[in-house]
Amino acid sequence: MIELLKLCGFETYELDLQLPRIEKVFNKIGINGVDIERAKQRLNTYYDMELKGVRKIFHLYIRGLADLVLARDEGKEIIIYGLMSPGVDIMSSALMTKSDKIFSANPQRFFSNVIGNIFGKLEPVLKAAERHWLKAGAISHCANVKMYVGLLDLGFIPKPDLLVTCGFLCDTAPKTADMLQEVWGITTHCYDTCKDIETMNDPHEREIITLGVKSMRGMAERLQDLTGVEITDNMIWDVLKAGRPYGEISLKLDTLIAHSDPLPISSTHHTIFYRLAGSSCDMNAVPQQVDAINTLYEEVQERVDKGFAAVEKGAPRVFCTAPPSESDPRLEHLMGELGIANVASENRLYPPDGSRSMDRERPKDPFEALCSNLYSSMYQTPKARIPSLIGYCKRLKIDGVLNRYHAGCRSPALDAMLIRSAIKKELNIPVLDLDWENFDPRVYNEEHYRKIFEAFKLTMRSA
Amino acid sequence: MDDERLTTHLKDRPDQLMELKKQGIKIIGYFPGNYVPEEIIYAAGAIPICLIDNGGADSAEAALELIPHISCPFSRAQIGERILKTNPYYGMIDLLVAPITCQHLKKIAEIWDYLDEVDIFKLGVPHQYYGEDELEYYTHRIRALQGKIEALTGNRIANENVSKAIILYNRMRNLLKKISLLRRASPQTVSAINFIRLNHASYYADPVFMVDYLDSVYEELSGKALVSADEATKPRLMLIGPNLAKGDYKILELITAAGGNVVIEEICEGIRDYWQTIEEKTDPISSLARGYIRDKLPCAFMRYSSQKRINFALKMVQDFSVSGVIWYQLLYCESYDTESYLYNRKMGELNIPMLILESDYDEGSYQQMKTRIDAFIEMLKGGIE
Repeated sequence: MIELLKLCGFETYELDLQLPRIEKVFNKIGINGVDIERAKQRLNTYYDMELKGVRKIFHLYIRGLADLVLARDEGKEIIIYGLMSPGVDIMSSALMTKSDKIFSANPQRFFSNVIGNIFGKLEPVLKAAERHWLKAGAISHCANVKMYVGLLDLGFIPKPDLLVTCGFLCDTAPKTADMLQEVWGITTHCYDTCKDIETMNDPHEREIITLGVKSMRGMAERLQDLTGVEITDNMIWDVLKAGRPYGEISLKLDTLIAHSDPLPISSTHHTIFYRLAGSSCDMNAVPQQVDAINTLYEEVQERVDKGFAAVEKGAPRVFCTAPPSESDPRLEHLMGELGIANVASENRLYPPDGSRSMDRERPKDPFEALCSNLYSSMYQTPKARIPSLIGYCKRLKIDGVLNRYHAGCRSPALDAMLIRSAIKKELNIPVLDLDWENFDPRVYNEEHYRKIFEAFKLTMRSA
Repeated sequence: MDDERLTTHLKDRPDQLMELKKQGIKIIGYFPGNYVPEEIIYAAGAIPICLIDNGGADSAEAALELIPHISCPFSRAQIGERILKTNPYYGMIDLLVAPITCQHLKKIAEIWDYLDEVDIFKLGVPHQYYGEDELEYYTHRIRALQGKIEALTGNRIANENVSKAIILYNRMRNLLKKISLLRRASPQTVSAINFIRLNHASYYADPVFMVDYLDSVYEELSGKALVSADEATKPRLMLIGPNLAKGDYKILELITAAGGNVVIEEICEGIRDYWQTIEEKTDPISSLARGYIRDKLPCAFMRYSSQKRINFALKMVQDFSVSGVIWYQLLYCESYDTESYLYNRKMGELNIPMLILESDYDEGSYQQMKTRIDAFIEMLKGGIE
């Protein structure tokens, strides 16, 4: 165990305090000696553990997991979770600055990264959910949502006093909130807008944002009633401001990787640095998150300067639709192993031409800033999403697109065929479709993936 | 029932509409779910047509070139019809009104829009149907729809005309409800398949004709037991599902063949439409907004709708003396699949047997369904004995 923790950046001086906590957590969630050995192997296989930044990131995930699992035991009286609900993390962070009895975190982020990416042991959690309303099989319920149900069913995370969800992207999360309330008596709250959004420039856009803002303010009132702590606009601005350096450095890192040839770091790392923000709602963690990403950025820059190749120079450059797998590094690793440079994923691209950041005035209402996800490509209609994907591919000089669609997330997934034909028509480059699950490691099929990626690479080479 | 009169009307309807189209009358199609007020369309002098055809595998399969398989077969079929071009209604519409209902139909509208073959108006339907802000939003979008239709038809939609349309459509709903309520009796006066055909016809037929026709049907049926006396011994069933497309009657045929008797349906193009009327004495647009989003039974994709929906279902079980529930969902429909868990649990607590079926409109799923329906009804019959 100590060896694993040290591999993940824990310093000796921390272990007196952290080791008993983490042992307690691992006992609770069924992590044993065999799992720990497997974790060490997985880390050394799939990640560049020699990079200090990577170790720091995993350190934060493991410590955050302990904070989450032990929250009640360690005296937290009000526990709030967000489920597919952008903005709740910010409000919860604001609340946590005012009371140390309040705790909030994003359970999926910790379990995906620690129990999924590190230990490869997420299956029991997903199976637990499938025994209830999120059945397995063709229906393809989203494994992100399954994770919450499974974790609560297994008692791996404390029962929340409030679970907040939203319908910005899907119906599955709000429906599960409805079920959690009806079946298990867990108090939930949903905020929403209406998704008749056209593009970023539609005159109707304002109304959609306004409705979202009103609904979010309703959610803030609910949080105030629950905690007895007032949420002011200034508190929200403070949290947003504190998180800005993280946004800036992670964007720099993303840009550096996307524009480098050779690829300086395996794409297995994309998810771990994308998802660190918003995992913990503890404002004390923010400087450490920024430090971890900053360290990684400097290390990757050094690799670029030295011409270090995680994937050989000149390898075909691939862009992937949908964000990278949240809980399983194997697909990303395999692409690298086969000599495919997966340079970027669709993680926050904005219309009209697929920028990584929005070119628009900063909102005056902080709740409007919390609705910013609504502008990103995966929340858009195909009319706005597809040009943004094409624009980004053009700028990155992409040789092929892995058109993977997270079947559990119907709205963006159902664009897949249109994306395929538009990219073929506009860019005339190979497109590989992949029916996929972003959060469920069980979909990984090495033999099949190896075959299709090898063929994909050949097609790109000959194109 | 004078089937011939209705059959002839429906048979002639596409040609009649094409003729009207030539005269400049606009045909406005809309996707089902009961969130598009036909009254607005009718009040503009245009013709509303609800696109609810399907149940066959061809159109659902044809769509796979444009959409992955993980969309429900009904939604896929709406793309398939555009590709196959065999259904006259799909080819004649001047405007498609696409309500933002479930993720599947929302995407179908987006795909139609992307293909740019027909003018589309996306009608925002907030899923927090109980909120005041959401009601205001929906009202505003209905007013925007009003503007769109006025621009398309060149006709101003006067409140007076909307009020008249509300009265007309309310008469239709009331008649459907009255006919449906006749099925509380045992033996019942109209079979499920005939009732559903009537209901489906109301989405295509001229509403004035339909009201007149339903009036005569009700006159004919009231107080009269048309179905044979042995029907009274058959298990009385409730059918619950997202939608039952016009043409998706195989499920009803299988139930009938197995000796079951569906006496009430809780489906989009059914009770959720005709059970409530629209208030007639207030500002008609506000009335429509409130009536369509708030007063009607919410669909399963609406937020926190489960409790209200299950309470309604239980009331129907009681009122229609139902002895078993058949839950008929479409493959890949996450909201209904999720909710089936809750219904099954609740029905189980009340000792009401429930059978969950899933369709992809393909022969394979019907084969499997047949076996399960036979066994379920056999079990219910045993219970009766």
